[in-house]
Amino acid sequence: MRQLILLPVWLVSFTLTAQDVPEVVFGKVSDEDRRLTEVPGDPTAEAYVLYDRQSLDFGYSDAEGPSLIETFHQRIKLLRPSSFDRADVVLRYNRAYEQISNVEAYLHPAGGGTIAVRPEQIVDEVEEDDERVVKFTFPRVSEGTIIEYRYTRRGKNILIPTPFVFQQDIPVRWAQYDAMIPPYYGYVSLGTGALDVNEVKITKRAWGPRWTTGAYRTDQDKIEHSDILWAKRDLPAFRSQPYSNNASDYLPKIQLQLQSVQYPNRPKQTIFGDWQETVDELQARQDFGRYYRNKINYSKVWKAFEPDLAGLQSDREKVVAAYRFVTQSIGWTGRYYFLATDSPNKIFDNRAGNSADLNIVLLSLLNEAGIEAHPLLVSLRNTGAPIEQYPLLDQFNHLMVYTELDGNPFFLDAGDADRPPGLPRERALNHRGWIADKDNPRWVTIDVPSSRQVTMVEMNVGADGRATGKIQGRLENYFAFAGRSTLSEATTEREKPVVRDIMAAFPEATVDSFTVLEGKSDQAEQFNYEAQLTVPAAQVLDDYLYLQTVILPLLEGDLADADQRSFPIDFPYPWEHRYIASVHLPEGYHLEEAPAPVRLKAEDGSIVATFSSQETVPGLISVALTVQLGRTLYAAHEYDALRDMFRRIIEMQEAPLVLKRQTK
Amino acid sequence: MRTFLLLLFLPFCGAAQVMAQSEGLRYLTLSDSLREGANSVVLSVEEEYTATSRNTAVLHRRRAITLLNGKAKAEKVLTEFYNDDSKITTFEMTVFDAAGNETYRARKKDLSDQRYDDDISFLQDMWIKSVKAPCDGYPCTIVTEVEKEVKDFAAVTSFPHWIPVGREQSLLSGRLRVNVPVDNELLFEGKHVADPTVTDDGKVRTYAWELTNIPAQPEEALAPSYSETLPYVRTELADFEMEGYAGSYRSWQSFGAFMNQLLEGRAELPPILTAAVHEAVDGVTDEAEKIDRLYRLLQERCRYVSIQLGIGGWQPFSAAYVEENRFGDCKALSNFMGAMLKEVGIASYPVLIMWDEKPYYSVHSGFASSAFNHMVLYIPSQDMYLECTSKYAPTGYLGEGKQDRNVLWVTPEGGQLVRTPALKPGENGHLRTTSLTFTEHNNLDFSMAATYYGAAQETFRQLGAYRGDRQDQLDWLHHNDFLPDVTGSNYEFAVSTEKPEVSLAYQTVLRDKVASMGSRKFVTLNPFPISWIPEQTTSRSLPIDYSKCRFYVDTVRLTLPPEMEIESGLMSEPLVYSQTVGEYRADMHLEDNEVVWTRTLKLQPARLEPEAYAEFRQFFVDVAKAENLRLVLRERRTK
Repeated sequence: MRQLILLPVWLVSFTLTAQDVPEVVFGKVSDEDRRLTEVPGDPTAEAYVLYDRQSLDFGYSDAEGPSLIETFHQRIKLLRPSSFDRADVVLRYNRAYEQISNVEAYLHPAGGGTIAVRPEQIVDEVEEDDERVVKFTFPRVSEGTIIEYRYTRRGKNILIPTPFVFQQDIPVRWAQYDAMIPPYYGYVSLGTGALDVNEVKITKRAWGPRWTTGAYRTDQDKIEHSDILWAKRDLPAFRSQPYSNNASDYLPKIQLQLQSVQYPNRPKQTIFGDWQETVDELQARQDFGRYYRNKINYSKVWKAFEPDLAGLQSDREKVVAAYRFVTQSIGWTGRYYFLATDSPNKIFDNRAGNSADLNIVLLSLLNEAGIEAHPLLVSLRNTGAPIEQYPLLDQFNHLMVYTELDGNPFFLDAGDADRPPGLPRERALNHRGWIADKDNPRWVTIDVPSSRQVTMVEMNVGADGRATGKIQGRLENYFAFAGRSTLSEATTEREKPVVRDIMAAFPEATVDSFTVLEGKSDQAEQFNYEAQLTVPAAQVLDDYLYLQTVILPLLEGDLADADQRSFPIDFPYPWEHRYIASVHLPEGYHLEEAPAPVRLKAEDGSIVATFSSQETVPGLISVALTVQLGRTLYAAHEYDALRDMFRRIIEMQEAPLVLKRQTK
Repeated sequence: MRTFLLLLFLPFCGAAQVMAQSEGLRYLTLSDSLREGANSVVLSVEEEYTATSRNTAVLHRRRAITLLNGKAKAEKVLTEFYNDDSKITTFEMTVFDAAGNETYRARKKDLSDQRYDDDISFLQDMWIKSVKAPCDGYPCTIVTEVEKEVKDFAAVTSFPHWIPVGREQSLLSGRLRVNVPVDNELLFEGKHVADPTVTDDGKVRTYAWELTNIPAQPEEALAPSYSETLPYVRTELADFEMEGYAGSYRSWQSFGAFMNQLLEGRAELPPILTAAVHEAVDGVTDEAEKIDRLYRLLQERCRYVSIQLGIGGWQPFSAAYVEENRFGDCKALSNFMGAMLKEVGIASYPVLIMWDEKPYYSVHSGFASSAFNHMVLYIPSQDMYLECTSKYAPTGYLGEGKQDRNVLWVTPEGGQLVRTPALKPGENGHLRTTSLTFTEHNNLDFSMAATYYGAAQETFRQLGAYRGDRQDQLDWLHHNDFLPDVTGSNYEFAVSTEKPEVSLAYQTVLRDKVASMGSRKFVTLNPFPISWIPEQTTSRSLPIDYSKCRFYVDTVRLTLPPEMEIESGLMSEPLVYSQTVGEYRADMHLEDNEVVWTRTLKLQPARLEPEAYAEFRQFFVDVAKAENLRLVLRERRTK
């Protein structure tokens, strides 16, 4: 999927011949493009990217050193009114470390001529603090219009240039990334997919610092730059699919990160050259390692927490106490990041922080309490699969805590007091995470325990088809968390956990009571409840009564949202549902037919489902349905089998008992 | 001297501390009646609005509220809007815990200051300042204070529309004071609140409303808007000024006359547009045809882009501006369309309207006020409204969320309040026929043809306009339960340009509608059940405001396998349910080995008393049950 290209750019690694790279002059379009009315091969496409180019260059000033100069050039053919929103252009930047300039925009009507967007129509305004936005909208847009614009983004930080994505949600005719990289900087590139043009050559030009070569003179010779051209042509529109994770990984793209710097006659400095260097660098940072290692940064929060430790013996108790303290005393702002915004003391004062703030507070408490714990960096679900081959820091957008209990990994992710310790946020379940352990940085698989739902139903069915009954149940792990969250939001009995799902299946059901079973629910990993309901579980037709015994659907959708899968199916965590019912038949009815027992098992055993029903004593039927999903990731080619499995499980849960009125 | 000053201040500081602490504990004195059903209690709200001239004012608001639990999340956030015409001079928040201790006082660095994004406007000069109260536990008391100076557009549009208490919230005490120079007048109307006391010191006239001990009103589904059931005061300054334009709220006529001022001189057509207009209609004699052609010209030529800057919130860009840029907002595009019509001698009125499924405030003839968020155009000679922001609506189609409400025609003589026509069920719904035929492995061949019309076709029309790709359309239709899957064939999707109609056809194989068990098969007959049921409650205290207006006709033809017969489920007589909001009728019969099920469902808007809730709900329970019918088939016993 992804491939890593190392660019030791002072050595040309390979050279391919550029093939028909289009010569595009900003502001000039061909008559052919003006006349174009549809995308070749995709007649319903609303718009067509004729040309998309991103160029990377470097500036240098003696005062501030190197800087990034990136230029962007887009030319888009608008074919249908639904694409006209693309003529509203919004470019965001942060003026603290970057600027956008040289914005130019032209519109080329299908019938001929070119209209410039006037400078006063290009607005540069503040959104919040240093966050700014350049905005303009093209005038006179109609079907067949070509819009074209370019701009320059200058950034002070050369560490990570703006990634370039070749494919878009509309077809692309030509997408090009080019770069002119001075020999002093070594970049690593993460590329995906084959390129139609892959050219790296040497070009000489004057650039950069003047090196003192004698007592009175400095030189700025022409130096050999890596002159890169990567391009792809004729890309179809990208289409995501349901149940996917990290779909954007399937987009061909370029993502550079600075690996090393070596100026003439100076030693080579590696920058995030490997994971060890990366962890050293991060641990030295104030907003990462120093916040949780230097007591001055967390003394106040420690003082507030310390009494909670009194009497606690085991590491587990201490870990849980620290987690509870942080989740109950500091709120999450809803933002994710892997660096803190302030010291643990300040975050505690403010009672709010981003995901890294909260977990760095937790780290400081654990370490001070003598528990070995480390930051665990992850890429959230749908923001890209983890890249382990090379220390690309840009991939991370969340920080949690890694520790071990009884020799086993234990993941902590503060953010919600209702979520038990050991369960990261669902969004953080992206398979792998990197432990920023100073002495042993390493990757770890983020496995979480299976989430379980156990439901026991005792139902008495009336001759009118209504079943009154008691449900006793237990939710575990993520299901328990969801249950607690649902409960805290619920304003009526119908909105309470589990009941809500039954109501969705039987809207005319009524809830008589719902009770959280205290004592059994004091552990956050579990949520125990009891409910009394009346459910119209049976359809009464003539002499028959068709009774649905599974009143709590275990599966809802049958995964039938795609004809064919292109991407894997990726469930966040494993789960298990157990449903056991004792059904008392109405008087005067006997069981005429019951579904046969079924046991389904996927080839690899990752899904198991069993169903059985039997009349244990006359008038009392026992029903049991169990479904287990042990594996979370299924390859695209496994889709058909998985979908079939889901369908058959839904059939099981919907299979009715046939009861017939006894004739006297 | 310094010591003296310090001593002088100390008693005040001490007093302030005591007052703050007592405010933090004031919730302890609440009676049970104010706690019942409340997630939060407004301990006190004091709002004062002082008009210093016809276009300047100062607003001051202090509010102390106790959150009794974590459900009143919105109450934790203090927000205030401002723009170039307004300046926030005070913005404070203090938080107290259950013991009355001050736990938080907002500092400057805690404040968020963001440009407001309404998700509609491309350019807008509105900002929003906010801060969120950190409540560790409950009860948690939050005291906020805001002061704002406003002028021109901001002053005129920010006259209090006071609603001091929400639902699931009670109020201990509230006061609104509005001060107006004696040479002007405050216009007001109130609901569930006593008339104000009015005092006059010769220079300023003060209107004061007081409220005490308001128990919490429940939040109930399908309830009327807040402004109808909760204490509400709406005020306007009788005579106002806005960037040099003088206006008056003394009557709808005068407010319309003010709007005319803002529109004046904005309808001039540039020569190129004049030529385009004449090219489109010259030679056409029928007026309706002329309108149709010009509306199409508007749709082809222009697109909707919202730009709201200052008085531009009410004043449209000129027709020349729209022609030059080929874009505009609702006002600019309505003005542009009106200008084109005028060029060919057809009179039209801009119309101010509240576009919302359920307007927050019900505009009525007795009180002129700008409770509008949208502009359309009305052509009196054809009795026709034109929605000028749509690139794909049929000519004369106004659209849902705009019917059956009072709107303001801005006529040459001034404003005229008029009601838009109400929807009729028969013109809004669908006509759908589905055929199901058994094939092997309990599969059903599925074939469907449907026509959606009126309000029911609007989302489909948008789909046609915004998703050209077949697969995108299928995904959307399946996701929204209009199609059973995305893997079928013979998909047809046609949008009428002339009428508000969209037709849809599709074929596929259904694999999950038949369950087989021993000698029986269970078939879900209706692939598209209408199963919505109002929420269940033990008591209902607010009226029911039902607004849906539809007529659905469905026919399902199920061809049975030759070896099977119906064991049960075949209806011997029609199933009929009826209620004020709807009528349901389903019929079923057997034609050879084909089951034919026909159902009509009429839904119509109604306002019902709270006591009718159980009956109202039962209607939908009955409908849902009837819609989800299953047939049970068994092996044929008789030949």
